[in-house]
Amino acid sequence: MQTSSIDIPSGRELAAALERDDLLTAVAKLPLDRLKEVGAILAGMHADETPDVLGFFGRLSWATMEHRDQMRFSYLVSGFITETSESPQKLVRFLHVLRSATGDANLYQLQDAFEHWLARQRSQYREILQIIQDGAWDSPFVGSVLQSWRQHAPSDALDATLGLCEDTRPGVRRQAIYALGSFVDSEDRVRKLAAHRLASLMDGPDSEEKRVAVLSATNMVAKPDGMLPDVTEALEKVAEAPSVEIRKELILSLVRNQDTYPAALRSKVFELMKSVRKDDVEAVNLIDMVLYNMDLESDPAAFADLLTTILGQSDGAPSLKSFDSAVQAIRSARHETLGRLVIRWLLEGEHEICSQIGDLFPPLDSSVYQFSFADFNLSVAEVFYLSRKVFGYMNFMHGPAVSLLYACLSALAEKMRKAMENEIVSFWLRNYPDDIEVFKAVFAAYPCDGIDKSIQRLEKGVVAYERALERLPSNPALLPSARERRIQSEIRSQQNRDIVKDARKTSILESMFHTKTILYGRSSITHVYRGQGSEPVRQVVTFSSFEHSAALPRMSVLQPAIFDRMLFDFRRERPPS
Amino acid sequence: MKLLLKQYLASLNERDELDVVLPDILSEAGFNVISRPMRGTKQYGVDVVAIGPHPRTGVKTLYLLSIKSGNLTRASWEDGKQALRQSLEQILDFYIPSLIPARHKHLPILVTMCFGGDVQEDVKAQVNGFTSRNTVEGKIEFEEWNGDQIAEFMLSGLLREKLFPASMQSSFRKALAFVDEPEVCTAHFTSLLSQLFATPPKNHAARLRIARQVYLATWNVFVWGRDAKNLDAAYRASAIAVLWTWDLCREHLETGAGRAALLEIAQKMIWLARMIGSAYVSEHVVAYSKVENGLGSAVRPWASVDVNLKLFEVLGRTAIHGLWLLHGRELLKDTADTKEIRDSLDLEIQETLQVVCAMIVNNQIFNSPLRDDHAIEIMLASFLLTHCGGADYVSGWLTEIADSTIFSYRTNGHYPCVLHEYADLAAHPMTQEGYREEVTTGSILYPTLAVWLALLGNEPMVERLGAFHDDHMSHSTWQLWVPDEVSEQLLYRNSGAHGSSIADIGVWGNSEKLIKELNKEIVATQDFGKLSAMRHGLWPIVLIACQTYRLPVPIHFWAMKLGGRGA
Repeated sequence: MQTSSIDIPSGRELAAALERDDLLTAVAKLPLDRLKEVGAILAGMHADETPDVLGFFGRLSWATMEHRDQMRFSYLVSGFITETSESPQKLVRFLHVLRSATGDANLYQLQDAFEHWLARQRSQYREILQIIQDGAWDSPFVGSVLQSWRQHAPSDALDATLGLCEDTRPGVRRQAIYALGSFVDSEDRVRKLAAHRLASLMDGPDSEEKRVAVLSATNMVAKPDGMLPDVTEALEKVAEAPSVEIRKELILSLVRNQDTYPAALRSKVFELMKSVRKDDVEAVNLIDMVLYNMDLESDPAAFADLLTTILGQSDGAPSLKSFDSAVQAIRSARHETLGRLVIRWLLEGEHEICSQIGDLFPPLDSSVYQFSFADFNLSVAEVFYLSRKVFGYMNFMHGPAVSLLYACLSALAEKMRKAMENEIVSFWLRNYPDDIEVFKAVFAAYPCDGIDKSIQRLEKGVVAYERALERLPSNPALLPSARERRIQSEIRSQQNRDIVKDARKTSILESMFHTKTILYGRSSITHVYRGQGSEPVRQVVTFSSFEHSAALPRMSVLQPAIFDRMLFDFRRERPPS
Repeated sequence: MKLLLKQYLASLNERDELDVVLPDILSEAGFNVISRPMRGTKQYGVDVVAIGPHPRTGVKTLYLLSIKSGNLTRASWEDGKQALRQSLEQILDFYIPSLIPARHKHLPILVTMCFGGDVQEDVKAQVNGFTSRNTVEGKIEFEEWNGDQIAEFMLSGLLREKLFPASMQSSFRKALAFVDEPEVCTAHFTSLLSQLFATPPKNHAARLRIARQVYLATWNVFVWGRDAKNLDAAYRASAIAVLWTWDLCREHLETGAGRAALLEIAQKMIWLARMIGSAYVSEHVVAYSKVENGLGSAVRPWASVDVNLKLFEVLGRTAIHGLWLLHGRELLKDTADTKEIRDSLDLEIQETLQVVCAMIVNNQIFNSPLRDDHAIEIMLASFLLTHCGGADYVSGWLTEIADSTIFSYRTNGHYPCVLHEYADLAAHPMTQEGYREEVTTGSILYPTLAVWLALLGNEPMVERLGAFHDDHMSHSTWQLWVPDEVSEQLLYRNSGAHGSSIADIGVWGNSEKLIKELNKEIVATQDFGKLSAMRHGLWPIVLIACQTYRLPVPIHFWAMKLGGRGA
């Protein structure tokens, strides 16, 4: 990291600032990361007893100061705590006063600084812990003490930890239980004792203790030496019917320890994931991470099983869209891998899943794909069945749909191909005549013997239909009236307004940037201010536009009821026996 | 106004158009028309003979009119047998010496060259030379009536008595100006008719004049629409004109001095409507019907509702065209001298049937009506098809409709609804609670399907409809319709609510009982037979009224047998 070239104020300057009660102004130009250095200087000044820096920090109105000021002071305090030689009594008290004033906002900074300070107090852990215990606080710093103590005297630390597992204060108790998992690196006797205690907590009645114990235990088993029978058995037992919170912890631990997670527990947690409901948003997000971290190329079946089972639940199944990271992983996978999942879903024909296939592809995707049926060993009837599922479920996905239909054609012998060509012409190309170009593009990218003739026949079918229509002269008597056109315009305008509104609602950009609406021109002029006193820089930002469009299926306009019926029949068709 | 009329005249064809219109114009202008154009008889250059005042002397004069369409060009002056010069020579050589009735021989003769347009410059000298050479002052003279002159006659005749007040002229002008916006044109045309009919005619002459005005106004809309290559407005105007004209004449067709003249104008109005219907089908339907989705694509739709509404409208009009043909065929006796006409009509009927079938086959939207009252068009097409031996075809088509509409209803798709307004239909179907029940609160579509399917012996589908009614449509009043005692007064101008709904047939799923119930009602309701259109054998007028005013077709049509070819 580059260090700022701005000079740190001298001790004298800092003393003067403290005197003036104007410390922040003195360090105003320093970046955040260098404030800790100032804190360390202040710790040195405090050791000389003039001035009373701890007293200065204690007198600050922490609860009411601006958030920005509070953060800068926290960094100063962190640097101070790390280096201070103040007595444990005073420091612990100061920490707790500060914490109660600032809440959890800067807790991590304080804990981190405290742990640095603890590293220099090896002989005093018991006393420090006692000071904390003697206070009335449900202290968040207990875990830090136990952690530091464990590193230097594991056996003593474990005794203290086991004792604190019975503490009446829930926060203290939680930290102690969580700390048990850390003893996995200690000598055998110690870690077995810790494991035993964790196992009994996991078997206990208190759900919160059980949850923390599971969290602690999963950390333990993820370590190379952590496969302690007590813990693994208890975890596997808990994983059979966990509460929502515990399931979340188990999944979270799997996310964190993807590579080292015990196989048996892993499969149990996988089973747990399969029953996640859409309203359990946190769990869904965690599973999304699990899926994202899975190796889709080397074990596509496990990935597909997990995702398919989750989506296929009859009640409360989350949508594919809610697994956006997993979807991203699928989209980035090889065509073969992506195709395998799509083909599997279409072949199984479950409506709830198939109707979400569109979410596997970018909106209105027109890219061509190389799909293959090599893993499926499909019969002729199944290939035809698959093509009809494409008709039923892959409208508006021109690239993927045509790529799959191309694969269907390629999978058939010449004689059967013509029958499928007829089906493609009479449904798909009737609706999307321009997709003949996509067929050609797939062939150009992934040629296959004999398919060029098929594509020629498909084109002939399209041209015959289109030419017959083109030959008909304009028929003004059948055109909608001006009034009807006006009403349709109004309907479209309203629909467009709704679409824009929805798009804005769901756009991440809307939450990230301030929106300005430019009514005229093709660029915008702005002035960027670099800092105090400097001249603003004039910038001209040229606009760009991005749009997606796709043809509506023609049948949905020319014969919507029949089109709906055909889609219904395609979708309802069961796999050939 | 004169320009409008001139434009109209210039657009008329010679045969069956200008020669048909011109005698009426002359009659209105005070001429006594003694001979009208006849087909199949040799005319020796004379299309119309009339007696009227000499344009310069005012002396009673015999007018011999030779009519040509459009502008008089060098070609139409001297090329071929139909050239005007040829006609004039025939008049001078044959007609005047031999064919003028004895009682008119003493009258001075004015040979009148009529054409809708103007005489072109390059032929003027030849025409003048010819007429100068052949003029016998006070005995045989020549006169040119171009579009301007005839328009002047129309104005001085039709408008001289202020029968077209300023407000009416405005409606007429607007109707013509908006022929390519049929809804607007029809609104102005209806407004024109409303003004014409606002005061009941005091006598026969007034009634006849109104009828002729309606007729000429319809002609104008037709011609302007033809120029705009859009006959939609003309079709709508002609349907309204037929119905209003019938309403004007119906009580005076059986007795009274003016009976024949009224009957003639009513028949001419029907003939004009049929001609417009035929032109509409030929211009806007036939070619498109033969191509898969040809009609639907021709709508250039913004939304499926556009295709649905337009295509069912087209189906109804084509069916009406076919039914008029069928009606004409029914009137012809199977004798040797009518064979040629019968064969020609049979051929035309077959062609129309093929168009209707091709429309349905090539546009599957006909399986999924969006409006419940599309039952009317389905009824018209089924009526035509079944009376021409297409019962099996109809059964298959109606099964598809029943199947598709039941599916759409159950899946909340594009199911038929009772909405009429385009904006409502464009938003249909909506998903809010209770909407589906609200827009299917009643139905003539499902009962129409059920009756047809029962008559065609498709028992399984009838049962399915019955089950659909019981399981999903108990909130909907399925009904049929019959005219009542006031229908005769109100049907033709849709001037008020009339007729009765039959809503208590509870046997939609049982063919035998359904037909029995239906027969009972047919026998019980006698007012259908009392409708003047039915009494005069002009049953297509009733169907036009149903189609135009969105009334269910009376159940009696199911019992109607046409020329022994019943379903």
